[in-house]
Amino acid sequence: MRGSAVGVRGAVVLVAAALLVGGCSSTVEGHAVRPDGADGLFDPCSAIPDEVISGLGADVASEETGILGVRQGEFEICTWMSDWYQLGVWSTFHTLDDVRRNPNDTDIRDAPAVGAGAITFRERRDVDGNLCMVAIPVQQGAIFVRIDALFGETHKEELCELATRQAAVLRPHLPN
Amino acid sequence: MSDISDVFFLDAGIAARLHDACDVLHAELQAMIVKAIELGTIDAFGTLVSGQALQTKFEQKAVGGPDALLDVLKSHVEAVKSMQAQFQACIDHALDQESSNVSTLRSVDQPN
Repeated sequence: MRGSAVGVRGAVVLVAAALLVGGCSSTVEGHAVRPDGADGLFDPCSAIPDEVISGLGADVASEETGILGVRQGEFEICTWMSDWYQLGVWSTFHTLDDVRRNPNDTDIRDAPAVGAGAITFRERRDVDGNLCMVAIPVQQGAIFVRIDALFGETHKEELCELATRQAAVLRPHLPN
Repeated sequence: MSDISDVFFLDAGIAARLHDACDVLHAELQAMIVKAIELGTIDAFGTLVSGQALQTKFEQKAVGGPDALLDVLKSHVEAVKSMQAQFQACIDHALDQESSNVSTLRSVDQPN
């Protein structure tokens, strides 16, 4: 998720860099990144058993990859709907340092119940307070467990507590 | 000929179906809002200043910019809720009227 947390890259950057470098001789600041998007990332949709998802109260039949089915560069995304929120697992190359550096990320707290180094955080742009994420450090970068409460729905549980509880259940099914 | 331009007739059965359709539309809009927010949290344009500027523009199409998708969807949710309340009022009115009719008929003396 937090591609934001990220400073991410993608084919777009390579194309932009190629155009800039090829079109003139000026120096271009920044760095290009992997052109192959999310290849090699842990895939939550295929790796997390259905019974684990249903055990969390989410609807397995609502499973969706990417955003509205569109794969996002540098992320493997899987989401499931529950009665008042959406559960999401975002797999990425990006790290928790990216989260800590991102000015849009706020309310960063340790989440030892999930595992060593895990944190919860929120988004400054989330003016409705409907989003909380757990970031878990793994070798590839990070896994984000994300709770998006549905607009206008009463929160039956504090979002970061829910995200932490669900991330702890998911942790054994995530990579190291 | 009477002027019926300001009168709206709605069958109670149809009102109930429209009310239920509002539930479906409401849920779809809520799901779309989540997707718009997700799009607003993706930064995948690298560290080039031009790429980041492009990313900001796309991001604000989803969240935070003028007429952002998120705001439009939220306004649609409010419209659907308003419509649903109106359909519910139609249903309630029909039920009240039916109850009133029952009372009226029960109070009519039976002929000998």
